[in-house]
Amino acid sequence: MATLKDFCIEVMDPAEDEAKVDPERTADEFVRFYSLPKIVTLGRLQGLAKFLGIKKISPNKLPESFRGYHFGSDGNYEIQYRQQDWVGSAEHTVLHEIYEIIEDTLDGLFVEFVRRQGTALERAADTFAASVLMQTEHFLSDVYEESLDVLKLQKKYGRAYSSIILRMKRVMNNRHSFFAVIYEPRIQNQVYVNEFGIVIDKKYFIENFVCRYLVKTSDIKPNRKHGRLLWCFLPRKKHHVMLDSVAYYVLTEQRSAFRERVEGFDMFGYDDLSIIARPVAWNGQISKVIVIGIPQKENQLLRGQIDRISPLMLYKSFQII
Amino acid sequence: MKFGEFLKDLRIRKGLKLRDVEKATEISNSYLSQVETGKRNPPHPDILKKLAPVYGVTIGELMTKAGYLEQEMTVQKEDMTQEQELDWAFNIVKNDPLYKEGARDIGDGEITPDVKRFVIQMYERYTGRKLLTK
Repeated sequence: MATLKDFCIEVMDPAEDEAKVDPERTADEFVRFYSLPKIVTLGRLQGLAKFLGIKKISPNKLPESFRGYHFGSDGNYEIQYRQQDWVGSAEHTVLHEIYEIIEDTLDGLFVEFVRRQGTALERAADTFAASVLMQTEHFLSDVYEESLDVLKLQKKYGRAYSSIILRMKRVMNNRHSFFAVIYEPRIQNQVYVNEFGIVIDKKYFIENFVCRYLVKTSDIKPNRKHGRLLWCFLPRKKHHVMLDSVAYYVLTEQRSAFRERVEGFDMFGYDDLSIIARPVAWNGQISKVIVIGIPQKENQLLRGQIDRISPLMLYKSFQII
Repeated sequence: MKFGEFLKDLRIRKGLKLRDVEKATEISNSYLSQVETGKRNPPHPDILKKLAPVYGVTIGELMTKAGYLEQEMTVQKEDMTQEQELDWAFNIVKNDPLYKEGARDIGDGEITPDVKRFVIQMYERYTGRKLLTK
């Protein structure tokens, strides 16, 4: 099998600009070059390691701020990942470190190449890892097949929910308008329900859930004719679940909810959004609420999911997402 | 002073432009510019050999500044505090052009003493060199 240097020469060859490489294209090439399957496991990466000049991939007790670490020199690297991380995170970390090694190798091979530094390198390495673990073609086809069901995609790919929605946004960009939000409790493991499953302190329960992750394509914004006031109805990072929002009904009714029409959130004239929100349970409690929004005119994309889960249908046309 | 700044300083003092250095050494001026601005690591010793006579310094001086040779210590190692020794050793690791390292960082990028110690220990394990005594 070809070495990492061979791969680097291959990946750089067709590029006009030798100063940098695109991490997503590099990931596509990487998958093709090493004939990686749709689901890349830690075992597969360990098997590939020797061809990449990585003598060892192993868990280790790392400093608190590190999730992964690589060290060594050409053809003789070692990668370590945090020993307490779950396998999905370890796979991402290993690929993240492999990308940094690729940039090191390119730096040694091509005088014109400028190795990314700091957060730019971190971001590129994360994009590379996500693109190998959720390969564009397969992932997009699964997004449609599962009718944008984040829970199904999470099971299929074994990735964090946040990685799934980020990747969805990336592969759907330029194809569909899309936004996704993940609410999580500010304080974990609080008991809100009595033995009959009834929420004890409703207000406290709802307000404990805050928006941790929010991704959206740039065209999801209040339509001008509705005025900028509508911004306040869009979820915002670190803000808690709003009263009468779709996520609110998920928390109060303890089941999925679907609002077919929320007006005024698409600048390209579709004008309305359809919103679906799903609870994620852990130890008998809701641990997350995942909200997905797409233009109402495209909501047939959600049809399979809606048929499967029979969510609570919210017919009132309120603005709150 | 970082290696790139040191190299730029030498060039300016000699009244040379990057293109003059390129002409004399056949090393691309864009590459030299990236080294000077710190976008690239210090060059390989073979490149330093070409640069030294043009810049009017010894190869030893460039190698030291580039981190290939240990700098003469202003403080004797045995007189260093634990913190000084950690910084000294961390500097050696970071300036060894034959050794590459990097992390998936989830913090704010702050290099704490724990991080330094970890990085040095990995270097010691890899190279067999003993840098830390304290």
